[in-house]
Amino acid sequence: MGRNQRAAHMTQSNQGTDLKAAEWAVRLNSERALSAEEQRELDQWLATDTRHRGALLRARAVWADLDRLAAMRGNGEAPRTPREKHIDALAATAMPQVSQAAHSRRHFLIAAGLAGVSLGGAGLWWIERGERTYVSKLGEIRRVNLSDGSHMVLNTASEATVHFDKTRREIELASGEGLFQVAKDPARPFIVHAGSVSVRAVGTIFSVRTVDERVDVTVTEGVVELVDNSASAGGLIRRVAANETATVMDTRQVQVQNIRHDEAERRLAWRDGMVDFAGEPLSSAVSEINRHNHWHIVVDDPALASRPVVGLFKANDPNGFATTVATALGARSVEQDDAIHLRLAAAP
Amino acid sequence: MDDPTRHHWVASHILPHEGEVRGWLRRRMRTLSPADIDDLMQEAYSRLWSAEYRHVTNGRSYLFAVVRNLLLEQARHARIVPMVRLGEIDALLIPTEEPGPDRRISARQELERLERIVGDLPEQCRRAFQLQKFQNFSQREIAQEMKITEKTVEKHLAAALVRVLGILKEADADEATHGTQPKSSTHDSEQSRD
Repeated sequence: MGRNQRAAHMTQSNQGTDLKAAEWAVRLNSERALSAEEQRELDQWLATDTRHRGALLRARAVWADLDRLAAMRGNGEAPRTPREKHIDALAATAMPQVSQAAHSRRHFLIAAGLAGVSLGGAGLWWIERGERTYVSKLGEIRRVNLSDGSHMVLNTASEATVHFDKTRREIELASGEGLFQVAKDPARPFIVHAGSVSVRAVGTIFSVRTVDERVDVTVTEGVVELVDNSASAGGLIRRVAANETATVMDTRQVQVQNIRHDEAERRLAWRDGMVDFAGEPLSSAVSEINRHNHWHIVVDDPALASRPVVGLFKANDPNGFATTVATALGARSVEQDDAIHLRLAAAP
Repeated sequence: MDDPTRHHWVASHILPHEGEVRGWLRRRMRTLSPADIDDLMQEAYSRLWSAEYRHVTNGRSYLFAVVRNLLLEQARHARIVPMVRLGEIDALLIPTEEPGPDRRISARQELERLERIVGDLPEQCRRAFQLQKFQNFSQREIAQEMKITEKTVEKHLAAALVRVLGILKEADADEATHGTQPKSSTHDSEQSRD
């Protein structure tokens, strides 16, 4: 059966994307800068679908590669216009900055270190009957159906105490990370206390993670309010909406960042037992994997530790992670002394 | 993105392996349609858009790893995860051996392919392409030479490029093995062979 037939089908289905990509690749190669309208059009096209970015990058690479082929061809047709001039002209072109979203992923850092933090007894002030503490073990993802219809998912090595009564729904996240899918109940706000902040929601999906002194709040649906936990007044710090992530180092200094929806989803990959990396340094990725496993990975070479990691991995499969990463980075994965060591491949 | 060194890196480290990866997907992931493979490759390239590529020493392994992880990601996003497919992905061991010299497309074959593509282009389109790529004319200079607008030049060049993009998708390791079979992809869609 024809490869050609398949190819023809393939061409049909993605013809539009490739054609657009080719048009933009050629357009961007021109000496003329993009007009404001063209820039908008390009940004919009790129933002519509991540595959458009891929198609454009591929088209530009192919277009650039044709120069190599043409040079190889070298059949004596003397270039009338010097190549240098062409390149200068290209360089002089105002290079448009495309797609802010393309870069947003890189700003996100998964913090290193085990999240087994004690929060110094911050606010177990409601201790009374009717509360229940849930603990997830190392490597365990624990799902809890709460009595109000909400769901809580605890990431590895986390501890949360649930207290519900007629007027409130409160959860103390003592350590680790939790994802909360909140059932709507305007009469009883849903509040997660973590370190110096509380996160208040009505009906929404968000995650709270404590790392050392820091608390990360990522919202995938609805709106939550960050409330200062340390002040006796408990004042509102600010609201965090869907597809935003807030980093609280100190309640007076909260950084809120917009993220794309797929980025928000990516950060919650852990609820399916997966971890997802989009260019984080290997050292961070390894910390994240180690967070889930007794069997640890050690990066032996500092030069290796800073390399970016891309991909989705099973959280509880350090071996699979190490093997894939070693392949991708040209490194070796060696089991030794109860750990998996990643090191640079020996020089040939 | 507007980074010529990135384009050159992708051209020299990733493009040469695209055919092999596509072939591997066709053989190993039988549940994927050609359109799925196409989507997957575009997604894989999009990962390179902002990736720190300078440290990637082995483009081939990198591309395989990215594609494999995209498959896993896809499986995760499917509401009902077909376990067979997950198993399929798990079984996808990245081929460690680079294809031998006989499996790799040679420079000569590449050039023949290019000449074939150029030869098949409509006349105006071919002329614009030859001026730019073989004679280093800028788009403005081509417009002057051919007495057409720069926009029209760009249309011709894009038409040529889209042809190359399509041909590269068809190419996989088989092509190198079977040598340079003459084929014109333009008329294949009418035939229904199986």
